[in-house]
Amino acid sequence: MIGLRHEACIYDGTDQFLRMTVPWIQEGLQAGDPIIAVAHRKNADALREALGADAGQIEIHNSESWYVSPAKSLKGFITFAAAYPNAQCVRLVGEPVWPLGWETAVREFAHYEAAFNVIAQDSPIWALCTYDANVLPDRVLDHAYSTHPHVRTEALAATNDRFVEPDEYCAQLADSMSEPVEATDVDVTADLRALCETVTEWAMAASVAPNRIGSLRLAVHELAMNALAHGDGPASARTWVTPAAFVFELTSLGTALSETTAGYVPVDPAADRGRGLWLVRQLCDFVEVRSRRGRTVIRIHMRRDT
Amino acid sequence: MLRDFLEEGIRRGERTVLVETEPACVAKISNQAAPGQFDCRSSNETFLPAGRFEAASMLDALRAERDRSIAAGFSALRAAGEPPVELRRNGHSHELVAYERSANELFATQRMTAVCAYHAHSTAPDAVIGLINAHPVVFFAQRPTYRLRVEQLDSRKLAISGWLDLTTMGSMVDPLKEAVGAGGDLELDLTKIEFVDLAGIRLLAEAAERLSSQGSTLFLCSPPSWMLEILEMLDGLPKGLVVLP
Repeated sequence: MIGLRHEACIYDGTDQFLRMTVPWIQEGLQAGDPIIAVAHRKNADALREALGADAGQIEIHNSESWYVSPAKSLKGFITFAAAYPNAQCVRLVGEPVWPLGWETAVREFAHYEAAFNVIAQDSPIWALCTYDANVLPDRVLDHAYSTHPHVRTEALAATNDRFVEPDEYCAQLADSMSEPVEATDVDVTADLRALCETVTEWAMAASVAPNRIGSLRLAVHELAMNALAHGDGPASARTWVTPAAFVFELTSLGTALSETTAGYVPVDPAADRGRGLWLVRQLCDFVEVRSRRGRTVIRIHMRRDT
Repeated sequence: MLRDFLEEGIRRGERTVLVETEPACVAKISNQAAPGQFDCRSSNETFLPAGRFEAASMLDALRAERDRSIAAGFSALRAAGEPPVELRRNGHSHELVAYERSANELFATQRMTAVCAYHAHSTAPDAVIGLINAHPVVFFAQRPTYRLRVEQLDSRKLAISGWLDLTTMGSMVDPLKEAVGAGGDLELDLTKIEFVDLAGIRLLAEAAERLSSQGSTLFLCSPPSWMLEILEMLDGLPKGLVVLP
């Protein structure tokens, strides 16, 4: 197998989930492929039972604890695949948790599915992303068709002609970032402590969990430091609160970032640049990037504990 | 600061140039210099010839001046000064930062040194960090409002308190290097650390790696919970680093 095969599996209910995944997993076991399956608790349990003794030969996780954020789930899959550098094919079953009431979260998981085509394009990975048509709304299924070059249903496995080139799709997603109703400006100056303290105070007032405040503070610091040290001109920032999250947005001028992969590709730990945004993605729940004509907007979202 | 720096150059037989910001020290320096060894010129004419800033031609002019100085028998060129305030204001400062960054190449030859002065209050705040990062060595006449404190508790234990980031870590580099160089296990008490950024963590990781290559360990004692979470996120602790709760 050469390069990535990224396939959406549209199923209807747990029985069909099993009929579509179990033979595929057993085929992988026969071939000696390393396999990891991440699925909603109900499906993960059913899978363990259906595989019987074979279940011990693969890694099975619940989506609820795996899909905490796009960056963390991606890191999990990449780490799994990297543990088998000589494998001919690494098989992944992935079933994201779609937070339907939170538009940004849905958009960012869709972005992650699109970006996966680029990030893993040269890896010998066969990914089967499962979508429950019985539960998920059309807009999520539309994302599935737009971000997977192949789609299979129980009746048919085929090349998917609704697939959209990842860069184009990620640009569309960045276009749909909505403007806040009301936002508060924050000064971005060399006094980074003042900036960090202001932002974290507001985040605490907006009920971001206390154990996430350190992460938020570091993320704000990294973004501001990057903008001040490498930006071409003044940076600006604002914050606002949505029903689901506390949001911090930083706008800077300078070299454009890739809207598709910025901060998603693990960088050499020794590298001076490029680690900042990777770390910010690990620290925050959702990170949006819109980078056009020398102007880069980065939004970080921290879940409110309400 | 500039005067001491230039006088040292004169003693070493280097050619020295002051880009005028402090007219007061000109007379004193020129008294000590041999003919042709010291030169003073205006900041505006140096940085804004014809009223415009051109990074590329500035770099060319510097290179030519260094070559002329060496051809004239001096051991090196040494320059000190400050860019005019127009360049240090908001909206222009990014060109200056880019220029300072590319000037490092010129100084890599070792036949040229410079101290670039920046007045904290008349330089755009946005530019300050960029300027700090563009220079391998930074002296503060006045420290930032937040700072990092390093205290020697005993020969193998340092207490690090306050704010550790790219802008403050300068004050930790030397004590840490010295402590690592002396050999043996080293403890850092982090009870009173307020903040650490990625650059600070990298500094600790490098110290740990150096210790580890000598068969010793760097112990981080009592780091706050937020710091533990961040260390965990970085894919395992670097070699030679051990966290003690």
